[in-house]
Amino acid sequence: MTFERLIEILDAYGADPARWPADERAAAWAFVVQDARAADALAEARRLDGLLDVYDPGADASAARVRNALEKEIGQGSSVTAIPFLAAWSPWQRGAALAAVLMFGIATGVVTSAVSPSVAGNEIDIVRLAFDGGPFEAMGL
Amino acid sequence: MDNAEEDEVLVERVADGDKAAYRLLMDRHLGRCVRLARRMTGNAADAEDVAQDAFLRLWRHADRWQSGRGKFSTWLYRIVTNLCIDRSCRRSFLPLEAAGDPADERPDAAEGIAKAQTAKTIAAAIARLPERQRVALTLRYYEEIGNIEAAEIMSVSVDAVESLLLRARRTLRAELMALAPSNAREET
Repeated sequence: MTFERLIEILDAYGADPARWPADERAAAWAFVVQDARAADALAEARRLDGLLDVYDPGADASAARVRNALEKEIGQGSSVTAIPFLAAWSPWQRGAALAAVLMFGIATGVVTSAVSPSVAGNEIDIVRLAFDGGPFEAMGL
Repeated sequence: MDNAEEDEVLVERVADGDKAAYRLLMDRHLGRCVRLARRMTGNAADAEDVAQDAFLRLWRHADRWQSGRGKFSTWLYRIVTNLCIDRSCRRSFLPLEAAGDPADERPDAAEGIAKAQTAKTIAAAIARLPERQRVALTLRYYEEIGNIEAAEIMSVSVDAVESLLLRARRTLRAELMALAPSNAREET
């Protein structure tokens, strides 16, 4: 551990050793204990931490509102478990229903594809959002 | 079974339409998603939209979850982060609500007013940070997400996360330290 590296750690992660990189934590703390300049730098980092901690927008009310909205959404029966009557149907009834749905889907697709773009194209794909980099990748570093 | 493994089981149940499992995932992650989005977007309305959108996608597309590609929480927070960025690309950052509710203006609330004003100044300084620096600060400092997971969420290297943090905090120090009490000296 050098003084310069300790300053980088404090500048990046703040004064709380719990936030420091785990593999450098012990060495950095030992440096702070032994070096007066390092102790001063730690105090400076703690002052900035104290300021940053003042910024607490709070989000409990928002989380409650979101939860209520989501409860309504899943309560509207968009899940498999919300259509238990299917389980009571016989195999031929389910087969007939599936065939009817397929026919309707094909007919609807033929009509709507001629006049409008795909609905799916309007939704950001969850896999792209989660795994293909998304906006960060486009920005580069 | 640790939390990450439990999350995976819950997501698999959600893919089968299990509402109880979905509610458990909300218990575990919704609050943090809202906080993340609130700090990244700077206002409650956008944060709520983002969190709701992320969880709706989870409900509708949980079957697309691939457990071999990392922790569920990383996947979810990455969705939240990217939704925030998509949103911020369409409009400017609005830190108007960053300091929370309006301060009480009664005389005995002077300290509260001063604190609210300080919070507003800090929020504005954070809002002026480049987007990736603001995201790194939110993930690493405020949400205390580890370097490796933060790097995965942001699709950058661990070194890049540290670099972004370094620049963010140095900028904030230059702008904000005049607000800090000058007698806060460390005792070791």
